[in-house]
Order: sequence, then structure tokens, then C-alpha cells
Amino acid sequence: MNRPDPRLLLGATCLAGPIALALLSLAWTPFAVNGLDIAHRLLPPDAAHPFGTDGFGRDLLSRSMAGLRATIATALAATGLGAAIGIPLGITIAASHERRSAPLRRLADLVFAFPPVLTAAMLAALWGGSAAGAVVAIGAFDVPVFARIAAAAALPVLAQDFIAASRLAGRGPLGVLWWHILPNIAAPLIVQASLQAGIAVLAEAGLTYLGFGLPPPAPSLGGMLKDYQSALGAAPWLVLIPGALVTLLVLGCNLLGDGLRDRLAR
Amino acid sequence: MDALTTLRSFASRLLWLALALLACSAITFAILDILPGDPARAMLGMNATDEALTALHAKLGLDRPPMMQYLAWLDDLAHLRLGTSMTYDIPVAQLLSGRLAITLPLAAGAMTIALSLGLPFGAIAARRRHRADGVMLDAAAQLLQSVPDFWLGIALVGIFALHWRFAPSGGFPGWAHPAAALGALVLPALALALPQAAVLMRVMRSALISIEPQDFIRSARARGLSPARIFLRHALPHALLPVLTIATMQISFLIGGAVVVETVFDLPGLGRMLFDAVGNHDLVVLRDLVLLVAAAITLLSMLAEWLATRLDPRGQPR
Amino acid sequence: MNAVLTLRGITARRGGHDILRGIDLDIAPAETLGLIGASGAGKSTLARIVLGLDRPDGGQRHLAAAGVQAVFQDPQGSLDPTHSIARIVAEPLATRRVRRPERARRTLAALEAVGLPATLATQRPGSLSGGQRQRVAIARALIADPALLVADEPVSALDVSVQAQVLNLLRDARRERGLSMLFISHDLAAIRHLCQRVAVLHDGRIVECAPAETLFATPRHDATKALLTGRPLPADAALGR
Repeated sequence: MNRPDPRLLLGATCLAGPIALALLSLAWTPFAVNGLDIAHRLLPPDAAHPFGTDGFGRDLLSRSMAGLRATIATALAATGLGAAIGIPLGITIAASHERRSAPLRRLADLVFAFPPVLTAAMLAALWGGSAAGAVVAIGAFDVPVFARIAAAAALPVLAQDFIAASRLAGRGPLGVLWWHILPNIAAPLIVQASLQAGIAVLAEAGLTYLGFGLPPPAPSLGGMLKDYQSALGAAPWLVLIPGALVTLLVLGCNLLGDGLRDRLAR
Repeated sequence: MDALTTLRSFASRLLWLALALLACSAITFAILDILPGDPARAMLGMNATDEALTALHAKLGLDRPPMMQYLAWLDDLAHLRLGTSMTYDIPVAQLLSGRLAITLPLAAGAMTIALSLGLPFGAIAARRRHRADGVMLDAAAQLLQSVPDFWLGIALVGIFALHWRFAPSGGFPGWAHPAAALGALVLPALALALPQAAVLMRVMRSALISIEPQDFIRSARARGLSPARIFLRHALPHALLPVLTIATMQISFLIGGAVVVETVFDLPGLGRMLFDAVGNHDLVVLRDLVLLVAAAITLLSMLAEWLATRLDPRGQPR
Repeated sequence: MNAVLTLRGITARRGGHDILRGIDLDIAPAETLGLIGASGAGKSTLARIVLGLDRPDGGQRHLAAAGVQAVFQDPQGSLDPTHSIARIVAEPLATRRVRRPERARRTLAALEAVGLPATLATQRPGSLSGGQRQRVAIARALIADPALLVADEPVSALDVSVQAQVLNLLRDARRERGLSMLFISHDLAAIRHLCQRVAVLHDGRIVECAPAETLFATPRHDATKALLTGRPLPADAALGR
């Protein structure tokens, strides 16, 4: 336990770069995100443009920074949404009688029939592609995942006497949930949140690729892959870099989740 | 399990399936037709005239109360009367059959590849976990499962289609040319399958590792059974259960992934149909299509779940 | 007599079985009522109903004064492992919106009253011994200033050497605070040490209820005799209880 798990370290390293770039983009990007510069189009990576430029001469580093920001924000919001609904639902399932919890469980699992791309497609048809649509679509899919984990973890906690003691001390159901159940089931939930964030990054990239997420001209990692796919032969870095950034984020989340799982396990 | 309980559990599953499909249709309907946002307006665009809107409302039945619309849709579905595409003005059913002929083989092929790569490599990685090659294998899987499938697809196109010219970079020649058609599906199926294979491999690996110290494996070893026999008769059946659970959940990922990958390879499958329906605001197609996909996932998941209970070496339905 | 707790005709079904079949019970102010019975007789079900944690399926429960607190059997599970000792003890005050300085002062006083050093306040339950944990549980119960304390097998999970200390703590609490107590135990010595009156729960009913000396000297019901001699009733033995 003295030496940190190498996976934790590696995961944090994978995430640190992209997150730093995303945060930096809030204040500064090397070039304007949508600034055209036809004279310098399709430049391979060099000192002035570390990630190169695209067919309109836009700086890929600046666009990637903004895209990372959108991806990370969407992934965090979606995971948060899924956790915010799924965890209370799971605890309710654990706390209710088998006769009532079984249908609830089934109902939560029903959401698995709607992968994010389906939900996002419906929302995009109604409202056009939007980051909010992507958040809802991905977050909804996370609900049954968090519900399952929370239910399994909360079941033994609910039977403990300190829950009874807390009720006797005058805590209402929400107080017991917040002060006693959540802290005691936090470990598996944190692990799952990390893994789900990775899945959310993948899903967000897929949705923006299809145009069901954040709409252009705002740069998104998936949208860039879509735009630059045809330039694969002429300017492979345009396809390699955004995809590698997505992979790096997902890998970081997965490593972090795996490392935390072993670390937090009793 | 005697015949009666088998029958009863089968009946209860069937009942649940019917309920689940009904719920899927309700969710789909609720999102598309009850959420704020006028489908007719979305279809006709912002500068549509009021008359055009009213006419389209009447044509789509949007002037009826939502409950009636829903029941009418259910009635159509029950009689397998799918709607008529607003864009192409051809029946959805006709559109579907051609699309399914691409998506089904693609998804089934991807699942087959994922299982046939993931399971053996998982077993190897578990066996050699203390050696350098086993550790490398696990690390490679960790990396591979983090790769977006559609990006992998683009990369495969770059390597095999553009560089080596092994395979077509996209498009679909139709099943009239079986060899060419299969060839067109190879790269997309690989793109879909490889990340999922990595996931399955890691599940298989950890399942086998966690089984190893258990009593029944030890006693089999003490009885002098050969390692191969222990693996096939004792370890494998136990490890398959978690693998199957994960594979079930992957059905959803595979079908979601197929939508994106089909777009990468310009395959006119269900995914492209979904993509086009959204682009054209064709809510009639979208509604039937979403329900079809959700129903397929539900059905397949249930089948896999049923298979898992049969496979469970503890012999008790869970 | 103005009873602190009145139970009338309490019934409870769990999993298709009648666990309690009509319980009538009173506890007077400053009285400690012992409750004995074979395991599976329904003692813990009754305790949870008295505490208001579970609802009875029938009958009435009436508490004269507000406030019932509990000390549970398992000192491991009765303290939240993620909270500090100070927070655990102060929880009844926190829910009553007692101000922080006041809370801290009363928490330290409560710890001192159960014989725990103030240095424990910042520790987590994991680093405490079983006896210390049970003292924390008592401190938490007493800080709420309850009218009735339910102690469900409070010493049976403890080492014999610390059992007496915890029992004396409970006895002193009654003497000093005029606390009423429902003391559930299968430890007859502990019951005799602590209780004025003893009720015998058998097969979901109170089959005998008498002053402690009377009950121990001249048990009337067969179930009581069986408990006192340590020989299970034939029926219980057949049921494998």
C-alpha cells in the first residue's frame, strides 16, 4: 500500500495532459479555433503548429483543445447525470421489498435497450444536434449501471445497525442516505464512475462524429474525425491526432478505474 | 428443472418480453411525440406556412390526442404495418429488409470475431499472467479497449484499403456479389469487433484467475486430472458465465457502434438509415427504426440471459 | 402508574410466519424490564417495533415521553465506519440543530461519562476495541436524553472481562438519570444484575412476567423453567431452535 499502484499513476498521467489542454483552452488557444488561414493549409506538425493544420489552414492544436474541452465536459456531465439518478434509484431498489424492487430492477435494465446513439438520434431529430442531447442520451444509459452497482453495495449496508441508530438519532431517509449510505458505498461507485466516464468519452466522440452531439462549427473530436476522414491519405495526422486524444482519455479513465478498484477494495 | 418449471419460466420470460417491448414503444413514443418540439415543423423547416403545417399534421395524425396516436401506432405494429417513409414515400418495411441484410451480418460477424479472439486470448493471458508476454497481452487489450471503434475503422481503411489496397474503403456492392459483399464487411466488422474482443479477453482473463484458487479446482488437481481436462471441464464453464454477462451487455454497444461504423464505411445499413432519418427529420422511419433496434437488443439480451442460466454450473436459475 | 412504554396486542408476521402473536407490555419510569426467551422467539423483532424502526402488523405502541434510543448487539455494525467517534456520538444533537460549540462540549462530556478518553473523539470506530465501541454506542444513546433505552444483547458480543463494565455503565445510567430500559438478553446473570422485572417471550407471546426475584425463585411457565435450567423445551429442540 505504500507504493502507489502503477495503473493509478499511469491513468492520472494519461488524463493530465488532455485535461490541462482543455482547461487552458478556456483562457487561451495558440490560434483562433475557427480562424481560417488558407495559405497555411494541410501543414504537417511543426514548431508553429504542433498538431499541423487542416484543409482550411485552421490550427489543429487549437481545435483539439476546444474539442477536448467539449468532450470532457460532456463526459463529466453525462456521468454525473447517470450517477445522480442511478444511485438513489439503486438504493431505493435495495431498500424496498423484493416484490417492489424486482420490477424496478427490470425497468432500469430496460434502458440498456436504448444505446446512446438511439436516444441521441431521436433528440437530434427533434432539436437538432446538441451537447445537451448527448449528455442526456449518454447519461440515461448510465442510469441502470449505477443503479445496479449502488443496489448491490447498499444492500449489506442497509442491514447494519448504524442505519437504525441514525434513524433513532432523528435522521430522515435523505439524511441517512447522504450521511451514512453514500459514504459507505462510495468506493465501488467511484470506480464505476471512472469507467463510465471512459465509456462516455467514447460515446461522445461517436455522437459528434454522426452530428448528433455538439453541432459545428464548434470543434469536437468526433466532428473533426468526420471532417478530416477524407483527407486521410493526404494528411493522416488530422485523423490520427483527434483519435489518439480520445483513446488517451479513455485509457486514462480505464486505468484509473482499475487501479482504484484494487486500491479501494477492502 | 422439470418440464413444468421450465415451461413456467419460459412463459414468464415471454410475458416479460412482451411487457418490455411495450415499454420500449412507450419510451420511443414519449420521446418523439410528447417531448416539446413539433416533428412537422422540424420536417418542413422554419419558414413553413401554417397551411402546410396543418396539412402535414393531419397526414401524420398529429392532430389527434397523443394517446390515440400511440394506440394507432401500436395497432399498426401489431399488424406488422410499418409506416411509410415521409422522405422516400416507400414503406418502411421495404426499406428495412435491405438495410437489415447489411447490419445483421455485420453485427453477428463482429460478435463472432470478438468471441473467437477474446476467449482464447483471455485464456492465454490468464495462463501466462506472470510472464512478460502475458502482461504485454493484457496491456495491449487495455489499450485496444480504449480505442474508439469508428476511429479504428478509419485507420483500417488507411492501412488496408488506401495503403495496401487489400479491401474496399467503403460502399456496398450488394449481396448479388457475395464475395465482394463479404469483402466489404470485413474491415467494418473488425473495427467493431476488436475493442469488444479486448473487453471480453480481459473479462475472461480475470474470471479464470479468480477461479483458480477455488476448492473445486484444487480438488480436481489433487485428483490428478490433467491441466487441459481441468480447464475444459471445470474452469471454463465457470468462467463463461461472467463472459456471457458482459457479452450480453455488449450487444447494446455493438449495435450502437454499428451505426457509427456503417457511416465510416458508407454502408447502407440500419445505422445509415438512422443517420438519414435524423438528417431528413423523417420521424415515421425514425420511430419504427428506434423501436426495432431497441426490440432487437431486448430480445437478444434476454436470449443471452436465458443461455446464461442454462450454462450456470451451479444449476440454479438466477 | 404512568408507563413510559405501553404495548397492547402487538402482532408481527415475517416471511409468512407469526413472529409475535399479541404482546402486552408496560415499562414504568426508571424501571428496567428484562426480556428473555430462546433464540428465534421474536425478541429482536419486538425490539425493533418498540424502537419504531419496524411497524407492527397489529396492536398499539405508545411512548409516554419523546425519545427512545438503542444499544445494539454488534458493536462492529452499530457505528458507521466512515465517521469519527465525535460525529457518531453527536449525531442525535446534529439532527436537533444544536450549535457546534455546544455539541462539542456535550460530546466530550458524554464520552467522559462512559469512561472514554477525549483523545478517541477524532478516531474512527475501526481502531477501537469491542468494549470501547459499545461505550460509544451508549454515549450516543444517552446524549439524546431518551426516556427509554432499548438494549438488545448489548454485551453478548463482548469479552467476559468487559461485560461487567458495560453492564455497570447501563445500571448507573438508570440510577443517575431515572432512565427506563428494555434489556434483552439470554444472559441470566446479567438480567438478574440489572432488572427489576423480567418478561419471558415464548412462541410469540409473553408467557410470564414477574419481579426478577420471584421469577428466578419460582418460575411458573415451562418455557421459563427451560430457560433457567438451560434445557430447551422438547418442542424447541424438535424445531432445532
